[in-house]
Formats: sequence, C-alpha cells, structure tokens
Amino acid sequence: MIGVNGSGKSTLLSILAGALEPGTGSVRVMGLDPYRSRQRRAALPHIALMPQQAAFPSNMTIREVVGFIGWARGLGRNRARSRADVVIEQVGLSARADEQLKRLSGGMVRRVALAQALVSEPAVLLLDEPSTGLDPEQRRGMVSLIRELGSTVLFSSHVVEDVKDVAQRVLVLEEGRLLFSGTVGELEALAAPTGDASARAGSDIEAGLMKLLADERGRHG
Amino acid sequence: MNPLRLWMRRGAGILVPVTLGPLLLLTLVPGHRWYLDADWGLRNAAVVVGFYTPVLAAIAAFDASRRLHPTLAMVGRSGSRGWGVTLVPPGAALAWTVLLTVTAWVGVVATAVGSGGIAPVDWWIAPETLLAYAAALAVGQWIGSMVRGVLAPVLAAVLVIVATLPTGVGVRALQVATTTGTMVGLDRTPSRALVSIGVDASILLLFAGLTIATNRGRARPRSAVLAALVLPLVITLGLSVRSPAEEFQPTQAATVCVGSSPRVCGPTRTERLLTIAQRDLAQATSALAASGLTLPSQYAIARGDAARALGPGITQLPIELSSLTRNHLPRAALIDALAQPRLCAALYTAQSAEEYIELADMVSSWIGQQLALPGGPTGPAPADVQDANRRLNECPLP
Repeated sequence: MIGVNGSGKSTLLSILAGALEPGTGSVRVMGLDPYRSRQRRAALPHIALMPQQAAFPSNMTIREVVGFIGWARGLGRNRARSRADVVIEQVGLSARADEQLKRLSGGMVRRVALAQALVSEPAVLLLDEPSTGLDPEQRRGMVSLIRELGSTVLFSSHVVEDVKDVAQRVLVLEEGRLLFSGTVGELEALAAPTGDASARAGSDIEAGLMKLLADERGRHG
Repeated sequence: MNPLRLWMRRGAGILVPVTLGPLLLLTLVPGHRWYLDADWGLRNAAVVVGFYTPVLAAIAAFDASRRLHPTLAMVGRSGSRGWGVTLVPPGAALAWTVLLTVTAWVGVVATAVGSGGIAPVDWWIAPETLLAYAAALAVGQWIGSMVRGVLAPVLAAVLVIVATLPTGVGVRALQVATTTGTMVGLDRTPSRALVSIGVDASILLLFAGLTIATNRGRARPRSAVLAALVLPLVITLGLSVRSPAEEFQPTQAATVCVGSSPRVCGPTRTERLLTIAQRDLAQATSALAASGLTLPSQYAIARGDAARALGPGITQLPIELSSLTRNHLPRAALIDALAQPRLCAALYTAQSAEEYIELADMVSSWIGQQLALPGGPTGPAPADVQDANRRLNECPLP
C-alpha cells in the first residue's frame, strides 16, 4: 500500500486491525467485521498490526514486551512466553532478549515491533512502514523476513524498492481514496503512455504512482 | 509471564511500596495510642488515604501516558483481550496499594488483639479505603489516556486534590473518615459510609467508562453511555448533601455491665477492659469512702448524643479505653471519672461552663492529692470541696 503522507495508509491499517472504529462504511478481514462484537472475537486473533511508531515501555525487556503483547492478543501466559522466545529468535534478537528496550538501537526496536506482531501467529499481518528508520542492510533483512512469513501481509511503505521486492499486489491511496489496486506490473504499465522521462528515471513503479496522482489531482483541479 | 506481576515490577506502581509504606508507618507507629483499639488504629491509618489518592492518580496517569500510549493502548484496542489490557498497569498499582494497606491493617489488628485490646467491628473502612484508591487510579488513568507527557501526572494529581477539597456539605470524595481518638462507643454512621462508598464507586465507574471509551478508539462515549456514567455520580452527590453530617454515631452495639460497686457498662466487646476500669474505680471509691463526697455508683461508656442522654445516676466514663496502660486506668481519667458525676447542661454553654469546670477542677485536684498520699486518703473533704461535689451531683442535665 503506497501513497503520499496523509493519504490514509496508517488510518486504514488501524481500522483493519480493529484498533480504530471507522466513522462510516464497514470493513471485512477474512470475511469478518472486526467492529461487530461477535465477529470481532473471531476476527481479532487472526490479525496483528506492527505500528509505524512503536513506543514500548523502555524499562521492559524484549522478552517482557513481546510476551505481554502475546498475552494481550489472547495467548495464555505460558503460550505467550514460549511464542515470545520463538519470534524473538525469528527477528534475530535472541541474544538480547533480556535487555531493556532503552538499550536497543532504533533498528532493533523496529524488529521488536515486528516480533510483537508475529507473536500471536496472525493469518493477516498489517505492517505500517516496516522499513522506516532502517539502514539499507537492516531494510534488506526486514524485507527478506517479510517474504518468509506464511501470513497474508499488507504493508504500507514509502520505499518503492520494498514494493517491488515483496508485493504481489499494490494499492495506491490518496486522501483516503483508493486510486489503484492491481499487480506491480499493472502499476508500472500506467507509466508507459506518459513518456515522462523524469518520473521514469526513478522506477516504473514510481512513474506509475506519479501518473496516478497527477491524473487524480487534475480531476480535482 | 504474569501480566500483573510484570507491571508490578515495571510500571510506575513500583513507587507505591517506597512511598505508601513509609507513610503508613509514619501514621501508625509514633506514639501508637490506638494499640488497644483496632478500629482506632484502622481509622488512624486512613489518614494516609487523603495524602495518597493524588499520588496514585499521578502514578496511573504516568503509566497511561508514557507507557501504554500509543502502542500498548493500540494493542489493547486490537487484541483479543480488548481494552482490559490497559487496566493492567493501574491494576498493578492497586495491587501494591492493597498489599501494603492490608498488611498495615493486619498489623493494626494483630497489635490490638495481641495486646489484649479490642478487635475491629468497623468493616466499612475496607470498601471505603479501597474504593477511594481505585477511583483515584481511574481518574489518573483517564487523564493519562487524554494528555501526553509530564503534564498528565501533574494534572491528575491536581484534579484529585481539587476533588478532595472540603466543601462543607456532603462527603469528601476520595477521602475516608478518620479519627484521632478511640472508636469505643462509636460506630461509623452507616448512611454516611454508604454515600461515601457510592460517590467513590460512581467516580470509579465514570472515569473507567471514559477510559474504556477512549481506548476503544472513540474520543468520547455515546451520549446515552455518557449519561449512564454521569448519572450515578449526580445521584450519589445529591444523596451526599442530604446525608447525616456526623461521620460517626453513638454505638448501637449491645452493652454489658461489670461489677456492682460501682457498675461499669460499655459495649460487650470491651468487657475485658471494663473489668480493669471497674477494679480501679472500685479501689478508688473504697479509699475515698470517708471523704464525705458522693461518688458515682454507675459508669457507662457513652459518646456524643448518647452521653447527653445518660440521665441522673449514670456517670460518663470519660476515658479512652485504649489509653489503659499496664492494665490500669490512667490516673487523670480515673480522677475525672470520680470528680464529674454527670454532664451538666451548663457545660454545653460557653457562659456557664467555666463555673462548672472550676468546680470539677476543685474536686478532682483534692481527689488527686488524696489518692497520691502514701497511706491513702485521710479523712473528710473540706467543706468547699464537698459543696462543689454536691453542686456537680445536682446540676441540671442537658
């Protein structure tokens, strides 16, 4: 899911995660509405969100934070503890599992944020700008981790390379509206008729995005 | 991984043992005059509630503002356990508070009972205290959900302080009635206790409801829900204004009388202590037999309106049984009981009280001197003392 700042990506992810009730309209995840009480109970165990800015209690250890969130997501205490160990290993932080978060780098905290999303083994994983704040090597590690996940992953990103590397389907949002839904190839193809050399200098995806946005803004003056 | 224990270690609630613990010790230990009266000790410990509710509100606000928001609150909204997750940090602070408070209570009761004193009967103290603490945490939790940064704990503490300021009418929210004297002869006024519990429970309900609404992703609850949350507080505050003004009332408990010359009566549960008082009063009465004074033949523990209603022939035992030392009545209490046979009506008006106080002082100072003599009292009291004693025995009753 791509779009400029303020296009509604984070809001949509929060709505899909069951964390922000929509003012109008409805939402279905795995055929279930997370805002109808009975369906909510069935839906939420299958959904997890990695927020864009994860601010965990800095005096807790990685194991404590991930374990607590596992419990919050509905796991039993013992299961939360054992799953915490598994996902901490998965994100490569086992050696520092008992360190307080205040001692970790920003990149490590992003991995903790991913671990907390994975802890409940969600079928649908919502990642809000997962590679923000990561250096190129950390970003590659995050991307390869996402590709290995067995879940359905919906992630928002500003980084066009992430989309190309990971996404099977791309959504483009602009001011809360869906401008495009299709494959990476279909988005790239949008750029072809423009012959916009400056846009195409970046990448075909970026050029397709620019074309979409230009058309949309043209329609709305 | 026990979530409550985790937050007891990692939440701001960890400050409770290092702040509430010393406060309770400071309140209870120095000059622990309550040591024979558990209810006095418990109500004495409740002094801490007034100081500590703002601290608890600040603690809850800090955790909600700095540790729960935004990430864990979001997890709470979207996790299977729901908004209940956000109640774990204040729950941990409450757990510490309950642990320390109950420990203090157990200490008070063990001290009183172990010293041969009176076991507690004032059970109102438990819901009153715990609800005041829980309501303060709820206020702090909501402030922390709405306000970010260091402002949240400050604002929460200030709000609770303002809420507890005396208004002169009704009960004081987030406060517990306290006493600096014995509870013997007194009961907590039940309607007053109920209203106090109702007000704090309504505050808890209101702010917990607002917090839940906030954590569910709504800026504020729907109007009907808001009305349902506010209504109990409005009703209980209304009842509070109409509740009796007195926090304590003369006891309704069954009484027992011990001895015959004199008889000493009081609540059944004080029988052992009455026996001590009766023995000392009997010895003194016997020693003063030749004094020519008319000494009381029956004493009773009576407080407030019950003391005024004693009538002729029954003398108020003006002592705190808790002040019994080494199994004896304190000398001052003994002398006062012998010298003031009845509560004269004149004592209740400023203009005439002085005269009767002087009469009582004259009699008590003579009795004090006589009882202090190595060989005991020597003979009849002087005429002026006898006259004062007569006037005190014949004065009009209230």
